[in-house]
Amino acid sequence: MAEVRLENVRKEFGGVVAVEDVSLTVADREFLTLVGPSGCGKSTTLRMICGLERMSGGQVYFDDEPVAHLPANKRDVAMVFQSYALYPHKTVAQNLGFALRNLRVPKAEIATRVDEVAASLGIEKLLERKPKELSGGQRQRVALGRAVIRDAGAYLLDEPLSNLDAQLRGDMRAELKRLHADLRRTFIYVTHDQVEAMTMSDRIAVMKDGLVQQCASPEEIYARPANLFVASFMGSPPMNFLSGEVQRDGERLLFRHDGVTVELPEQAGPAVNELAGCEAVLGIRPEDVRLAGEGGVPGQVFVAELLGADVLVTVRLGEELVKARVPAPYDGRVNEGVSVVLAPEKVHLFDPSDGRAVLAARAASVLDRGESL
Amino acid sequence: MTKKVVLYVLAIGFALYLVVPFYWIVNMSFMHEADAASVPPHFLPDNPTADNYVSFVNPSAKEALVGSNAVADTPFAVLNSLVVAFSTAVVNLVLGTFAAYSFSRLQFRGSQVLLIVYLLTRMVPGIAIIIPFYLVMRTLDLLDTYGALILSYTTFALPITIWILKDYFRTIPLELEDAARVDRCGWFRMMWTVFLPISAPGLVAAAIFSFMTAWNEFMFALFMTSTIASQTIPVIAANFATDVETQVTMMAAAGVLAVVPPLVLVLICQRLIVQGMAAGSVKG
Amino acid sequence: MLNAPAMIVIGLLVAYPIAYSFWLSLHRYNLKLPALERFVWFQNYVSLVTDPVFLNSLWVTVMFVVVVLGLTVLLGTTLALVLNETFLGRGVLRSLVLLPWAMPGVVNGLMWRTIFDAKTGALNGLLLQLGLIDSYQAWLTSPTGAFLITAFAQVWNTLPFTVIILLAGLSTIPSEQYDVAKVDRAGVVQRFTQVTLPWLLHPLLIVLILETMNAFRAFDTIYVLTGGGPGDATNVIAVLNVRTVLTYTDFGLGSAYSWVITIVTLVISIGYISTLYQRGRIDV
Repeated sequence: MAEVRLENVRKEFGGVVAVEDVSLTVADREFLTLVGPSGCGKSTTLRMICGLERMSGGQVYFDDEPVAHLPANKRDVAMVFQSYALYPHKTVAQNLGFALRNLRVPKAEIATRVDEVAASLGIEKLLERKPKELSGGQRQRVALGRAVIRDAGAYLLDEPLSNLDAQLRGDMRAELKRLHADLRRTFIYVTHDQVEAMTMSDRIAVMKDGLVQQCASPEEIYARPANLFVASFMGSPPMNFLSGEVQRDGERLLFRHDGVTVELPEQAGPAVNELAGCEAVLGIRPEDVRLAGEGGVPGQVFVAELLGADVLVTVRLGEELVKARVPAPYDGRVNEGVSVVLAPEKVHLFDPSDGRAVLAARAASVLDRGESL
Repeated sequence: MTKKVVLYVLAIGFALYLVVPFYWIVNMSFMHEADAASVPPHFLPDNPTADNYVSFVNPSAKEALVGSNAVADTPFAVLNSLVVAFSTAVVNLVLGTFAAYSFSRLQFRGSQVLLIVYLLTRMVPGIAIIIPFYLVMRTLDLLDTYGALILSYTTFALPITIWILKDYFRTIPLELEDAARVDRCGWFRMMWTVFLPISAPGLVAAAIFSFMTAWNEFMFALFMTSTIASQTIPVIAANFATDVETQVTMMAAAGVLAVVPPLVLVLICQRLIVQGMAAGSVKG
Repeated sequence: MLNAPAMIVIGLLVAYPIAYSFWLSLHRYNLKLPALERFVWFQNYVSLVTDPVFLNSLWVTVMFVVVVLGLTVLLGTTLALVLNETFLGRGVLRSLVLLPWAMPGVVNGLMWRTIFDAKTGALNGLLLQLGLIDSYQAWLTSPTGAFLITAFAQVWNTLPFTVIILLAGLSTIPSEQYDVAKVDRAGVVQRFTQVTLPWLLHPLLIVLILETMNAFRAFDTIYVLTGGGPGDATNVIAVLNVRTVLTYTDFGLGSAYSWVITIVTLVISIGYISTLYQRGRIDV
């Protein structure tokens, strides 16, 4: 059991900076996800925590113990690899027990633990098979089992679900979350899939260009993204963005974009006031966009996609396309006129010069979606 | 249709071309001297006999004189060849594995150049280095010992061994090594318990290649050996051939003995050999 | 670091001998006449130019290389093309191809000797029974016969290697290429020249390089089969070289011979490789 702390961790590969400066604290028994687009440095960060990659600078602590000088085989970590990396010449049972053998655990105990782990993952019938005789999902379970059989301080998972088909991935997400609850250990999970990050994590660290953009709970990240990147990366379908200008109209602050005018909340704060007269980017999640017969900004239906319970309607507003998520059924036809209502209390406002959020939605959208629709 | 006919005619023709010469010495090796000399020849042994092979262990007085005692020396020469070829294969694998691992995993400065330099050493014919080699071995007092031969053959086979292994090692995913590290293996343990077992096919191909190189080599053996303490089977077989008194049947039997070990190896591992040889050479 | 053992072995046992052998070639150095040893600059090389034995040997060697190379490429390509088709017994033929490869050069020479033997040979018997000759011929005593037979024996021995490389090359041709050619109405001949041949060029060049080096160094088979004779009909440079060193113990002249072989093979190889390189298809 361990708290994992990163201080100013940095990694360069021959002059190319992969991880610029990452400081994070992963609490004991926490499930923390590093999420970001490919090349953002998330996997490199994980490999440095693991000890597979030497750090160019900074320090990693396991329970306040610095570990930078220790190679992977001396650190108290277990890992699940993206390609599973099962040993092809060993049976499932040997794969599971390999680390314990290296740790000089008595044979009898290894056998019991292998059986336990296999039973908990539902692979007890596969123990004598070789990896190449297993399906993708079965291999994934063995890879997982090879990590959880260990009594490690931290469990590191590097995109463990990315090679599975969609159906299986959904099942495994739930199973992983349950596993974490049962094991009550520190999990550090790397993925590029923001859905995985949202559904499983206690906290999410969104990374880009070797830097952590925001580290917070999934609710917080979704409701109050710290900058444009986090806002655009997290959430599916993604947030709508409109570039415009903040104007002062007497006491009120207005955001204007072509025909769109949104009145910004009164208690918007000093940061918004400073933007008055400047350019700004307004963001709003599709579920916070309402479609009405009239009373909002007029536009035309561009396309409507059925998502199941909801319909994702793309509306053309002048030059821009705005997506709205509305409950099914929706009977608007292509090119039909429609009126778009942007709920003022749900808008985000970003400073385009540095992408920083200057105004976040007042309430966590995910929590009161019903009301906004 | 004509294509099929041409194909089968060619296939049968080649099959005969490949097999008949070898069949002939096998045939001869099971004949009595008198039958072998008959005109026209027997294309099957009429009175098959294993006498020729028995003679190697228990030569008659007349046979003992042939080719400076070649008959009696044959079993020892086979043994010498086995020892030398096996040792060469082992030494090559050990040295080759280290070098090939560094070529396949660590992109160090000048690695490409070094790799090509290794290969270029094979451009120099053995004859060009045989004299200095002889003198070095004389200085080290290794003449007429296994050591001289094993050292020579290692230099022959090592560049190719490295090449074969390097190509094979590159096919092994890096994540497997990472997984082993996380599973608490140091480098040597990782190599021994994970990397090398997975590389088995490449290692076998390289070992067979080294074994064959050592088994077949003649020129260095001719220079470096002088007695049956280290003479290998090609040297003894040549003694049969250069003596006019040699019985054809005995010579054939010695030839068959010299072919059996490499032939068995090749037939057991044919798929590996074809893969291994093809891997590095043809990528275009 | 991991490369160190291999570097030491190759450096010590190849690089040093190469340098030393060149040094020796600048000396008059006969083991039997140690008193006369001295540094003579390039005198050994100069004397080669006017040495009829050497010049003849060079001529024989060149002819040998040309004949062997021509036959090897012709037979090897045909056999590889046959093996690339599907027919009954292809697997068997593929195994048979490896048979000559397992045969040590010495045994190869010995085998062909029994076949071409004047008194007991299979060839004589066969031809006589077919009524093609009236009486047994001494094939190996005619200069042309001996030369052709040694070339033939050499080809038989080295054919498998060629076939394996060419076969690997053929297997990389995507079958879509043939389908496209068929759709484009190319005939059998056009398919061969437009699709097969361009893909085979790279492996063929590799075969040429390796087989040229091999043929220049050919020793084992010839030494056993003819010993360089009759007269000097098959006295290729490697045989001459070994005899100079082993029989006459003239290390200085011997080293000069081997340097000529080295340089000739090197020049030819560089020629081939630069052709390869110009086509931009070399990769390490």
